[in-house]
Amino acid sequence: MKPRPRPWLRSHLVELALFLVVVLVASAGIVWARWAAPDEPLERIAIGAAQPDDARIRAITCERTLPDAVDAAEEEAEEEAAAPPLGRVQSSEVLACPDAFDQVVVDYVGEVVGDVLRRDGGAWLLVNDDAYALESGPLAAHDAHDGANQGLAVWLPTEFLDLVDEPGNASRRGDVIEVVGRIHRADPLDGGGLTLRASSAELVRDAEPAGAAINRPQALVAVLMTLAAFAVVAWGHRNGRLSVPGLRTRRRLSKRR
Amino acid sequence: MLLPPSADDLRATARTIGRVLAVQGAVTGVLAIAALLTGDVDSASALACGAALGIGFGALGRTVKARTRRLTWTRGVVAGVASLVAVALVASVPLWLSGHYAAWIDALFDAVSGLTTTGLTLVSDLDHLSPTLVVFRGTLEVAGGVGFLMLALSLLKSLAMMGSTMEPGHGGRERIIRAPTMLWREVRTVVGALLVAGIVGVAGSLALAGVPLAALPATTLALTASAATTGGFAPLTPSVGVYHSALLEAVLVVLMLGGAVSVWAHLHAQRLDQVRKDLDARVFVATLVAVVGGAVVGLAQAGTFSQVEALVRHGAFLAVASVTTSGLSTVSPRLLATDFGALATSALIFGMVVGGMSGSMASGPKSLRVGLLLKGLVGEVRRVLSPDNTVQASWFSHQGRRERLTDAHVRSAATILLLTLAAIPVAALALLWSDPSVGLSQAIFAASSIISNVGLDIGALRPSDPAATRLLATALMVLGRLEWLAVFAFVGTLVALVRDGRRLGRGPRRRRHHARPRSSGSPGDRVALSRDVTSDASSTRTPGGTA
Repeated sequence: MKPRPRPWLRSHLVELALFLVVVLVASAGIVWARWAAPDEPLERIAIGAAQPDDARIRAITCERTLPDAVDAAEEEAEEEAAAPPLGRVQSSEVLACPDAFDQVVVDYVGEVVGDVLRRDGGAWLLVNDDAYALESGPLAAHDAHDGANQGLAVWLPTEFLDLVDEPGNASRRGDVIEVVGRIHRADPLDGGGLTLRASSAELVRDAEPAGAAINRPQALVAVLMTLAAFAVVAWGHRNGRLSVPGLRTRRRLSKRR
Repeated sequence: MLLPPSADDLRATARTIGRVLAVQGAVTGVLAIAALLTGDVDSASALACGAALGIGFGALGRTVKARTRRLTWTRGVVAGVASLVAVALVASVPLWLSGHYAAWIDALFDAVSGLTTTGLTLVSDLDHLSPTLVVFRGTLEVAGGVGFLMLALSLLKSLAMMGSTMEPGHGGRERIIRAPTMLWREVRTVVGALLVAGIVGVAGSLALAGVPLAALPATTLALTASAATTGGFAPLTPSVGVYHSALLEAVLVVLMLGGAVSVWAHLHAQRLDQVRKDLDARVFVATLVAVVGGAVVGLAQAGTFSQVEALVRHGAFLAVASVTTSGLSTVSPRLLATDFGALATSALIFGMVVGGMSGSMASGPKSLRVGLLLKGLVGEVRRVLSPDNTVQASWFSHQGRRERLTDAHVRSAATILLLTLAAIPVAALALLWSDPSVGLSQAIFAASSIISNVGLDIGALRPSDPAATRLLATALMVLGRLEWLAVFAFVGTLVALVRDGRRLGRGPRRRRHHARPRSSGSPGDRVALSRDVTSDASSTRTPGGTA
């Protein structure tokens, strides 16, 4: 009588257990590396609170301007143009209710991020006023998550471009500027984009580095895991089970001999 | 009845996963070196961890020896789904270690979003993300786009037979008929040409838009990958709108359309008469025209834009982004929610629910299925109106062949479309439950975007949502991209494995007792045939048993 084959799972129990141990060790290393990251948030930028007492901000509602009311809105915009600036606004207020801010002159503070797109007569900037811009800085420096970024597209005339030296990126908080300008819900010069065209600007704070300290535990885990990976590749290659591009396996070599 | 995989099937699956992981690990390793050279040590170590996991586990998988090299439809799909899960798990590691994700689930969501070419993101502080990680997200989109294209084209015979991209032919045992090397040559030609043309076009338009030279490589690679693979990840939060360039938007529109057109149409572009007759191409073009028209008219009606340039630029771009399922955007998510009006939003939802052409890198239910369903409906109406003894036959042209429309075509198309439409309210309800401040139309828009793997963001899904909602969204992205039935096959195989795993023997050796191969083909054929025949014979007794 032919012996009954051993159940597959039982015969591979040792390999499966080893595999699970490797996965657990790798996971533990990754979790340790993640939680050992340096936590050094940048200094909060004191720019003063927005002006919630301004009667015009309170009066703003999110009712859309329908086509019939466009003319009336334009008339209102002309009246607004003669009025003094509305005061400091946040991008979240503008994005939540762009129609209400159309053609309104506002004061806006934020960090320049991304690229400075130089064109004739000025440059397009992305100016963020979220928590990463004005409070704790880029996430490379800390672990206080506050969702996605938020900001406005700002057109800065050439005479103010000297203010922006270093836009924000992964390793630094960019220059923080304060601009006064008019919001266009559908800017005709930008193909209908929501923009803020600055008429004046000033530098609030220079760019500063963020997350300068290297995450040493993460680097250590990376080195160990890389060594382990190459050990597995070398083992497979040595046993002739694994072909590595550019290298001949031992079995192939022995066949040639 | 679902048969459990044999030990040899498991070995073959492990080898496939190993190969895919090794490639992903090697690409991640190259990016880790690039990050190290640019002095970004933390990103380099995060990417090195991902590369080590990919290469290490990939090597382990590749050392497993399988006797059967040829896969059946079910086993091929199971290997594809398992590879997606494995790559997503490994790719989530560098993303999570970057520190830009509040929880690992968010990193997993982004990895799945990239691999399924969705483009939705739960990243925090994207605008300060390292350029190498931005490119890494782009590589996930390329891996996903090309991987799913290969998987879909492997089943080309089934596609022609059943009018679907991932539909089993006969009882799930039809062998994958296309040789991978031949397929790879076709895909490489089309995708390579698209990516090279995209890199040249996007780099040129970005340079003209004023992007500094230092930022050009990463931004170009990220945007090209995103548009050409219909992925949708953007380097900065405001997506494409941040570059204020009509030329760039035009180049991206061409790339998105290129990614959503089938490989067959690309390869037969010179034979326009055949392409014009193709049902898939016809429905795709008709959908595109309808959605662009609906979006432009809707935006004009809502008073969002009064200028023609703005109407066409934003309306057409978003319409193309929705139909091609790329999900790039020229406006912020909040504006999409507050400023776009009901008609434009509905047009975009319609575009998302139809999707791109089958056999392309686009996702969504696919225009071919909509075409088959419409033809079926017209045929049914004709049948009702005709005398009883009249025989009605409908024909359609697909990939250069004229085929008769059968009930199986219509049933297959209707199943996927119904599943997609049924999943939208489920996802919308989950989003409404997560955040009561989200409006109903916003939730339906976001749900369509998730399920059709579009990625147009309306601000309804956030990292602050409950973990259950984020996990549901992750699962729905996978379901949508794998077209439901593939995931059902995967889950069914897992269930069968757990149910019958204890009895799992050593595969082909054990089965020689039951049946001998009848064909005189290659050894691989004999093993596969033996397995199929034996499975049928043993299914009436103990599944996979030896008695």
